[in-house]
Amino acid sequence: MLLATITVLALIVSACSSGGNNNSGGSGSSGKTLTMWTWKVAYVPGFEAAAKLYEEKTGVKVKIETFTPDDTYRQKFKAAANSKDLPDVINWWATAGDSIEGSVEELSPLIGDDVLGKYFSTAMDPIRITQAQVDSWKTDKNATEVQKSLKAGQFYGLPLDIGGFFTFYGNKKLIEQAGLSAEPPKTWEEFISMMETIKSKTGTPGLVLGAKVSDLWENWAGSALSIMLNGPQGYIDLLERNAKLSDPANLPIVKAAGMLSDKDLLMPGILSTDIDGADQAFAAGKAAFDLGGSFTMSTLLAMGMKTDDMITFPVPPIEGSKITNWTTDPFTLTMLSVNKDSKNKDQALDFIKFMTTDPDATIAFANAAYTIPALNLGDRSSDLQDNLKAIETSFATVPGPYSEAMPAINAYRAKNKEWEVYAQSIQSMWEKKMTPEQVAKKFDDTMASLKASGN
Amino acid sequence: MVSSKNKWVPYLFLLPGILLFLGVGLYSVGFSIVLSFYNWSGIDFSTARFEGLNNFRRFLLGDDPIVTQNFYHAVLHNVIIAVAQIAVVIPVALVLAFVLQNTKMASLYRTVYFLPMIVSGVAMFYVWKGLFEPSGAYNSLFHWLGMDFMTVPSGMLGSSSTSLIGIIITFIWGGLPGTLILYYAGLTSVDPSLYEAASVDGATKVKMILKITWPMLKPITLIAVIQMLNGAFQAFENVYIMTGGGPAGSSEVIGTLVYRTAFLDNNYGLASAIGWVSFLITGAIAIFSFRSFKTDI
Repeated sequence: MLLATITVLALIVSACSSGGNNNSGGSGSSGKTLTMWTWKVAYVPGFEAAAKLYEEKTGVKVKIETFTPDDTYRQKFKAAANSKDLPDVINWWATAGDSIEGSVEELSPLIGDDVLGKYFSTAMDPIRITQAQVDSWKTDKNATEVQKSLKAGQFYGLPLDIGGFFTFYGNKKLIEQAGLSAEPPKTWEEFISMMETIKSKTGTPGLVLGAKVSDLWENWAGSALSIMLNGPQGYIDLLERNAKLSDPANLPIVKAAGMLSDKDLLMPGILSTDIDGADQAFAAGKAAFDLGGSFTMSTLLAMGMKTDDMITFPVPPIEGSKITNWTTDPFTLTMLSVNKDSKNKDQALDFIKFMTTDPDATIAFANAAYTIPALNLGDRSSDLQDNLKAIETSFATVPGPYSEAMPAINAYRAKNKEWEVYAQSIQSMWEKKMTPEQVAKKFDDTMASLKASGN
Repeated sequence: MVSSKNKWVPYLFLLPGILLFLGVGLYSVGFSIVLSFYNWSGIDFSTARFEGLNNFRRFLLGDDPIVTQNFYHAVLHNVIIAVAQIAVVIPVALVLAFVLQNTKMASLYRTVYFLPMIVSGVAMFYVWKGLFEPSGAYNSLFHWLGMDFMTVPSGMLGSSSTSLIGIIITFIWGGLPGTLILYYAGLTSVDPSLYEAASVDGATKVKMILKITWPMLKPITLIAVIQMLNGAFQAFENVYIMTGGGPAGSSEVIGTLVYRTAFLDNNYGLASAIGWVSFLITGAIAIFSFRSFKTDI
């Protein structure tokens, strides 16, 4: 009842708002106004900068409306989709099978290789529907009708920006104050030792992360540790239920997370700290290291930190890992889609092509939004801000181990609920209420019982 | 007086409210019943798939063990919140109402106690969140008092042992003023001549409270209990803001489970089914409370 009331109220609010269909100008392109929605407040200056260039080129204005935070945006989208009141252009997470497909234009028949070839080679991977996803939805009794109707190869958005998780930010001042050199650690064990030293010398906790979001650890660090330890196939085996977490080969992954609480390295109150709270705490010097993604840099800079105040490095491998050097394997973060009921569909499509493939537009967007465009800029990379350029050059240029595991991650991690249990068990372990062995056993037992019950 | 010619005018004024009630209230109730039998992602109802009773079987009968476990944990937490709130708020509100009745500055105290009802809940829950942080006022106060055994180093909301206690405290804080005002109004409505007559008959103060005041306040207590039950089973804002249901699901309630299932997992059918079962549980408890009180009223 509560749910339906929220839905109906959202519909009413949405109906009262200005949708994209009502803002069109005359019959020609010039003088028209497109409406675009986003939830990324930090991206708005970038969108505005690119929209200005588009207006100069075509005479078409783009009005950007922001609804934040994430949850509100998702609800706003659903309500507007149901009342056919979506804007012309929609900024969305770069995902396939997110059930927005019924409301946005299928772009696969409209966009050719001339456009797709301009992006980084892996940019379309999270957006394009894979055979693994199709197979997974076919056998998933909880899959939606929208998901079941999708075919491999279809896509509904164009990639806007790329980035990666698995990035630690370190407070240079605190590291040096503890008598250490501000160099990235080579192994997980070395990283733990660094944090121990900093804590004993300065009294500052080692690490902060948005651990209130229970699956953040796995998404942003755990999976990288796992992929490095046993290679991508080792992680795929876990996802596909062909291996156990308590296997001696996999247990070190849980133990690596357990070291953080065993040695009291986590910032107190971490389990009630969300992503923004973690970044704020790090920027305020309340922890020596912060776990984030390439996109975290813009947040930290906005909070007053300077790049010289920090060191940045990817998740370091556990000793004895098969992969000893994690290359930040970027994937598309957000995409742009066109409302399938838009009266300005052609202009909207033209705009998203411009936003994602015109070098001037993408550079203007990237520099103002502080994110890396999905467009392969080539020589034009030099026009990016220095910090962005540094991040971009640190990205792997060829698909790395994370890309190899990504189809299985997309197909199974949200569907197989033992990962939800695992995420909560990690929280319990950080409270010292479970040991790594117990966490692994609980994961394995849940996996077995879910498998037996057909889930 | 409205002339017979213009008898319809008052109804015209009521029309927006009636339409809103029909459109938002009744329609949404009906829609959610329908939804509970479907698998629907939340966009375009034509893509919904009829599931029969599958949604109910998933979380009630263990067809989906994790959802079932989450549901029963959430119900247990709602029950704990309700019981704790009733057990603390009823006696405290009653005592405060007695004190207020016999104090000179009643209106000032009334305003103070009434404050939680008039301030924005969402804003206050952020304040509570701050109070319960590791370096927040709660820990600082008990540390300053030398009662370190009462402090929670990871913050009240950052520990699965205490997160629900933190939530309960906000329920007690929020439930007290309404109940206090109800009791205060109830006390002032008791005819003083009853006490005078009892006094003449030699009744003690305690006897007067038990034999005169309490029976007069029973209907009010019933209303307060049902209100608190209802509030506890509809818990959402404070839990969502303060803990999000964590850590490790330790403060998950039906409201956050419904929210997560609908808006994050995109399963509106299952979420509606959980919501309806929650409604039936609340209704059953309310009827039980009503009957158990009614026999003596």
